[in-house]
Amino acid sequence: MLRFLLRRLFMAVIVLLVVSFGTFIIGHLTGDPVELMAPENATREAKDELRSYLGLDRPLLVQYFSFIGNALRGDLGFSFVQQTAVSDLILERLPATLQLAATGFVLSLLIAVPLGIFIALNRNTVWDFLATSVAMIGQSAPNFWIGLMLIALFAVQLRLLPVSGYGGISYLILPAITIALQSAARLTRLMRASMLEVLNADYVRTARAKGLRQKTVLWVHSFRNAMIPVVTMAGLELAELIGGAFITETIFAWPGVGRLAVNAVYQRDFPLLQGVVLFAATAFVLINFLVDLLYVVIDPRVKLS
Amino acid sequence: MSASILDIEDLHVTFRQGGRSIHAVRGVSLRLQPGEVVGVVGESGSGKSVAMMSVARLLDEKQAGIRADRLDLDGQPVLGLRKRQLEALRGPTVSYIFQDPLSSLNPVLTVGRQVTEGLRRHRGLDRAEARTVAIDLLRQVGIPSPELRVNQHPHEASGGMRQRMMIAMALALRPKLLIADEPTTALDVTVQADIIRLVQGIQREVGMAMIWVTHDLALLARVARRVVVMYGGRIVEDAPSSVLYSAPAHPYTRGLLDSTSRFDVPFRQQTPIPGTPPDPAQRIEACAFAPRCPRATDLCRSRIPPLEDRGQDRRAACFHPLTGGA
Ligand SMILES: Nc1ncnc2c1ncn2[C@@H]1O[C@H](COP(=O)(O)OP(=O)(O)O)[C@@H](O)[C@H]1O
Ligand code: SF4
Ligand SMILES: [Mg+2]
Repeated sequence: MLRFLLRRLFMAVIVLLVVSFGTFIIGHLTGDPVELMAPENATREAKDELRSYLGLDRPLLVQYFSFIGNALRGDLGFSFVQQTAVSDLILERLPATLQLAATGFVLSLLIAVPLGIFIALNRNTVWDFLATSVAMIGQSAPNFWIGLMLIALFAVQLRLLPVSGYGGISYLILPAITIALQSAARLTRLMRASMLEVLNADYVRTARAKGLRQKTVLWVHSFRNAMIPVVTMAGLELAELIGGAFITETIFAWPGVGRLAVNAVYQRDFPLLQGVVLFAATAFVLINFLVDLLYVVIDPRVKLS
Repeated sequence: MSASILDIEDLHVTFRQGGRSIHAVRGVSLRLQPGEVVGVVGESGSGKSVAMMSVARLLDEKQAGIRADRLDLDGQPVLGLRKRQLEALRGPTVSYIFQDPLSSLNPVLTVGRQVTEGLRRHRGLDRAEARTVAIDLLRQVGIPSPELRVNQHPHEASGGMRQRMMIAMALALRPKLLIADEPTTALDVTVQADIIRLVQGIQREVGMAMIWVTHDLALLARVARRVVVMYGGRIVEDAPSSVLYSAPAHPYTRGLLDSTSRFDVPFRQQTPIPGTPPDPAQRIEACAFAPRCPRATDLCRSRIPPLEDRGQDRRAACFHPLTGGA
């Protein structure tokens, strides 16, 4: 088990190195920050001075390693555009994003797990047909479209909820549903398929042959096994949710890290963009690692591999 | 009326599959006395497992239609029972050992838990008592260091050990009827004999009735007093082993005997029965074996031969039997 986790940890580090190098290179290729920062009429000398002050005249590799070294100490650089440390900017926006992503994630699981089990147990009924069809449509509807439809219906037409902005629960509902729906659709279908497979498994037949109660067969012998693929997928979904949050935050004017990133792109604020991407990547990797840990807890067979 | 532990009369099982009907069992009648050991043999697909699973109604009845003139287990009409009553029979009255111990054990639960679940359900043991009993049971089926094994998961054991766990589980409640559906087919040849001896020993000790399902006639010669031969969802011959092995009445039984592993014949030289088994999706108004039978006549191709008494305590379904002729 230790070897399994160590291997995963090693892979996580590799992934982070690749991502950080990628963002670093792209950041440097997309434009010279000095040109963006310096006033129009600045002299060549002044620009050179600024460049060397920022350390941008050093070889790329040196810059990269100093970037990594700083990042490890929690220093993600300095946003020249906003005149603030990148880590401060991210930390300031983080709670809003976490709130949105976590609500969306919980919402998605709350819909998908019970619904998936229900339609698996009632397969080939009207309920199954309805839920499966809606899930199929929901799965292919893009986030921004769902967001706009929800705004049009609940905020504009029915005037039940605010159109956008940040505040109490009422502001959270629409964006959370927006980011949850797609993932809920995917997870529902997976939960259904997984449950059906498990219900057909030989060990469930064994459990029934022992005369166990139906609810024991369902919750002790089927549920946990059926959750194994769902947990794996949910980890990926959480990562996807954070990605979806970036777009959704923009639609709903939600002051999270996503909007920070979008603004950074517009303003060519490359230290900020770099910082956000590296931060998001770390979050991804961390989530996946946690999923692996959870996996070991649910499925004892993993310890062997 | 009868003191039979199992009394099946004209059992039919049909699966609905994508608009088609699969006739897996087409009229099986079988009676077992308490303590009796019967072998059921037949090629793969002949309906052995489906018939056996009907006994405790383990089939998914959303797909499987089961009907019978009688299906009594220990005097109780299985097909008329409510869910709760059925659950009460599973374990104490009838218990199963399945073919593949790996897939038949739950991978995420400990061995101890799986072995004692039935006891806790039916006898109300608490956790600590159950653990003691589990260790005892595992020891009885020859599992070394059972106090370690109870806390392990099935994948940590070998195939033979897993089947011993299944056996411990099936025997935990000392059932009146044990159904072993090809219990050694998925195992290494080297451990097959051990498992057979183990089950046989426990059966003799407990004195329960038992059905051995297999496609291996040679194995049944050693364990069963009586052998039932199935073909195409029906019983084609049912006779005491001594009678069946020395002088089979049904041409299919003859074919099985000829193709069966004999210790003096290398595997390659055994002659399988030529031809293929009948398609379970088709209704047959003839002897299902006729296309492969050397004795087939027009009569065989126009009517289903009934399973009739042939003397010597034998039943056979054939118009032109090899012995006990009509
Ligand atoms: N769940 C099922 N759905 C459809 N057909 C089935 C199902 N289970 C078994 N069958 C069919 O029933 C027939 C008898 O199967 P089975 O009893 O497993 O044979 P055996 O145990 O003698 O090898 C086979 O043709 C098999 O394909
Ligand atoms: S009834 Fe006819 S075809 Fe069928 S087994 Fe007997 S002889 Fe062969
Ligand atoms: Mg079978």
